[in-house]
Amino acid sequence: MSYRDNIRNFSIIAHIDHGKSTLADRLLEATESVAQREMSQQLLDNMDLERERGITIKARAVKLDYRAEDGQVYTLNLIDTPGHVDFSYEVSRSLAACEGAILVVDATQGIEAQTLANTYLALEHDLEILPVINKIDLPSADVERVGKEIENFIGIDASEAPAVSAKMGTNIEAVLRQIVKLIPPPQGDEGAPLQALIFDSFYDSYKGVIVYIRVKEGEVRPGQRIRMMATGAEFDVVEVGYLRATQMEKCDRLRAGEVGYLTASIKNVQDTQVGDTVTTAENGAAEPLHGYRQVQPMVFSGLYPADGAKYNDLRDALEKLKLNDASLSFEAETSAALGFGFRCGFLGLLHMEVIQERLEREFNMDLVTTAPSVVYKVELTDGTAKVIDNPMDYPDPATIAQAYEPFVNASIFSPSEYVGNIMELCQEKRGVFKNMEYVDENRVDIRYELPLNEIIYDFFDTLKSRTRGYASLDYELSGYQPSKLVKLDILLNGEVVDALSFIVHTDKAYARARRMTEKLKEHIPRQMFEVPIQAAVGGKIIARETVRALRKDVLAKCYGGDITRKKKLLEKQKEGKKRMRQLGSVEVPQEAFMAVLKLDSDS
Amino acid sequence: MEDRPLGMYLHIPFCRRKCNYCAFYSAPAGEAAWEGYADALCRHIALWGERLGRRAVDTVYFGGGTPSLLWRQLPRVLAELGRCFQLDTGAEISLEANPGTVGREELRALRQAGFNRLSLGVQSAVEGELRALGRLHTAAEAMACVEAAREAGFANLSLDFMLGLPGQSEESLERMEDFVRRAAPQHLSAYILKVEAGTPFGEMGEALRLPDDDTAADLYESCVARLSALGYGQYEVSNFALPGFACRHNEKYWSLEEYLGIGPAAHSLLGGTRFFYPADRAAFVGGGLEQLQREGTPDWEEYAMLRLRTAAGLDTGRAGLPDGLLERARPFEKPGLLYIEGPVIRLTPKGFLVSTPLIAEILYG
Repeated sequence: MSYRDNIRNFSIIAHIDHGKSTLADRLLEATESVAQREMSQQLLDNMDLERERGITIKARAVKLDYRAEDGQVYTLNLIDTPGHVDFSYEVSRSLAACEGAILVVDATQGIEAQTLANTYLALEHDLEILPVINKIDLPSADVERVGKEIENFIGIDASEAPAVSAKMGTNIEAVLRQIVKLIPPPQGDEGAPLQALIFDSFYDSYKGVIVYIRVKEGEVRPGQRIRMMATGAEFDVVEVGYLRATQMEKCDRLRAGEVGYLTASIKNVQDTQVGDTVTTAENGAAEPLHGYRQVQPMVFSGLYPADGAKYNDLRDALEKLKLNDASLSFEAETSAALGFGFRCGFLGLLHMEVIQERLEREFNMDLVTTAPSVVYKVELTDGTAKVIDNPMDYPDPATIAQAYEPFVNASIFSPSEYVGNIMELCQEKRGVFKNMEYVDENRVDIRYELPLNEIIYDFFDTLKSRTRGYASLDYELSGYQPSKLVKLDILLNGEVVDALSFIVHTDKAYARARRMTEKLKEHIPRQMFEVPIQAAVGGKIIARETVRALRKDVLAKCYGGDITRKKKLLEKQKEGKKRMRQLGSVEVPQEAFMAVLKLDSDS
Repeated sequence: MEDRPLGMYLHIPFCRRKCNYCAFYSAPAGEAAWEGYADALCRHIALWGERLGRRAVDTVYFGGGTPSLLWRQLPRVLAELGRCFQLDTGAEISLEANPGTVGREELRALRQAGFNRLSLGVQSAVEGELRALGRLHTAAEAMACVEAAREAGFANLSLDFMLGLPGQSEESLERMEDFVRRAAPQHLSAYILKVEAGTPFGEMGEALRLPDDDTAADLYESCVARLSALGYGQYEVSNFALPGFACRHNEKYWSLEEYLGIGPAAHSLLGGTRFFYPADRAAFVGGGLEQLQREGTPDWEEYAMLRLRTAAGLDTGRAGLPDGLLERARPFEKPGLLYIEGPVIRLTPKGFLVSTPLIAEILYG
């Protein structure tokens, strides 16, 4: 009998809010991995943001010791995965480190878009899928219906699926029993050349990068010289160990089938790309594990410090975040309107929001951001090609032979009564209908091909509002298609504000120009002069609004010789000017830049 | 050092009833409180007289509240002032009064005690507006009071009006103009209503139905034009006077001349320092000068701000002012918000209307 026979490596996959993290917490408790007093809610989501939003952003892993009914102790390696479409590549790498996955489905909601997307991912990796029906404590729970949905729509047997309440701690033991019973132990040969899959990494200021690995073949131990097969970087292993719920536990070696960490005085997470294979420098593996790819940002946005003097602080903050986030990219950018800042690349909108929020919360940065842009490709008349992630770089239309924009395959799950609304929305967003399937009598899975550009403009919010919150969305990039694109410029008082330019499909230009000028009018306060707001495509004005001149802002009377109030007003004005961006002769509050990002959300 | 004569402000924190818009330090109280308060004023005047060595005073201003309520007490307060300070023979001695609180006899007594300028809170010539404001008099009573003041011998009369009142229109201004023609005061103040938190108006919020900014601005501009046509020149954001009748006491505030304020919440500028009494009547009545609170030293920004609120304007050539004021002001000349004459910047009525941001523009760019 091998040491591997008592190991089970698994993930938990679920649609957002179906109870993934709560179930993980219960498993930790049930295996006494965490003392009750250390139990803060949702231990694995330890960023404030993750807890607040109920999402997992970073993958985590934890080794649990489970004494089964047969008296044997099993090692359960739980690998928690990010739960959002932005991080689907990271999810796939976490899944690749496992032999099984627990599929958590909410007994009141049934299958959702991400349930399916994650299940497909797990099936691609040949994982044993263990359905668990959660939230049976809620009055509207319907275990039987949800079990049928899983069987009929996903096609996996749910007759044995434990019905649990992670919140109340009901029936957790059944889940543990099934993990041992149904998930196969890992394969691998500890004598073979080392192949270890990196599924995440963290920067620690004492130990350097802590690399989370699943050893597939061979073994890794301190003192070995290792090589990252994709990046070619080499290091000497300092420490290896297991990941416990509340600390790291050093060990002598990690063998094939095991999950743990290694440190090797690595300075930079760029050297430990998720999905890369760790092997030994000498007598290493001939081939890396398959599935690695370099992560490409999908969404770009300009980030500027509200106070220009904080430029260096922003750079330092971005560098610190990048220590832990290899998928974040940034480079210096200059805008006539906003001054010095950074063009940042993100995996998606959620990733962008998370980075912005972390900059604001953890680094106290006050930011002005420009509208997110996807990556366009253009072929120029001179035969060259160009990749555009910044509207400021969009070439003169006369020099463009053909422009291309990225599309996604989107899957939308919804009660069937909203099919009409969803199709209408997708048509508005230039979607192409692909397919529709019934999940059960009342719910459908609608497939559309949609431009990514349309999705990053609040598609999700609109979808939610038009389906009373019932629809769920998942998508993956499908490739580039020819498109008719134009660059829309915004002029204030006759001058182009570069930071407000964006690229838009020709058919959408007029509508968006109108919305943009209206929205700006709402947010630009009346000033001493009349301020025309214009939207232009290639020099032609297609929309116009006017902010009329301010008429009245005066303190008529203060009591006698008490000028404190006048003085305070003066100081308030002075302070207020700092919140304003001076664009030519026009003062624009920073909120105006933010407001135009949410252009469609209240339309 | 030869000190210039001092301006003197005396605060009377009493009124018959708090008006719906008023946020000044004032409250109703009985006559016994008035007596005690007058005693306290006399005591503080004496303390200051001692400290300042009977310094010369050329303007005195009794403000409130409703000072005219204390018509019995004020003569002895003024007498104490004359005893402890050297009151110029030509001193401007103003008293704020509310129509309906004083009649001919009371006004005669006040005039005889030495008051020579009366500022009457008329506020509006439209009955509905007066009621909405919570005033205790009618327009007719206000006119009767004007006549009584004339008969009592007040030759320098000022009337207060308010602009931007709920529902106010051009018609309201016509009534005001008629009132002014008949009353023929030497001086007028016209204040745009500012709704203050903690007042009944402040509580009403949207229900107050104030005119929007454009309408209020129109009313203000119309008021300036009407008063100008009647010969009242604008000399500050909210103040108008026949030639030679600008309020000398107020002008001290706006040119950083020295003034001493006595009474709770009264502010002073003396010896290069600003200070004030806390807004606490009991502390004032029970205590002495130890309660004064310092609030700093005037700076160029304060000076420039106050000057730009006057029609005489800011002389940018004055020592202590930074460069660049004229350059920053210049773009606002064409849209008619100000004039530049040599080194002097003068705001127009349009400019006064937006003076809060406009002054910040000129000062900070």
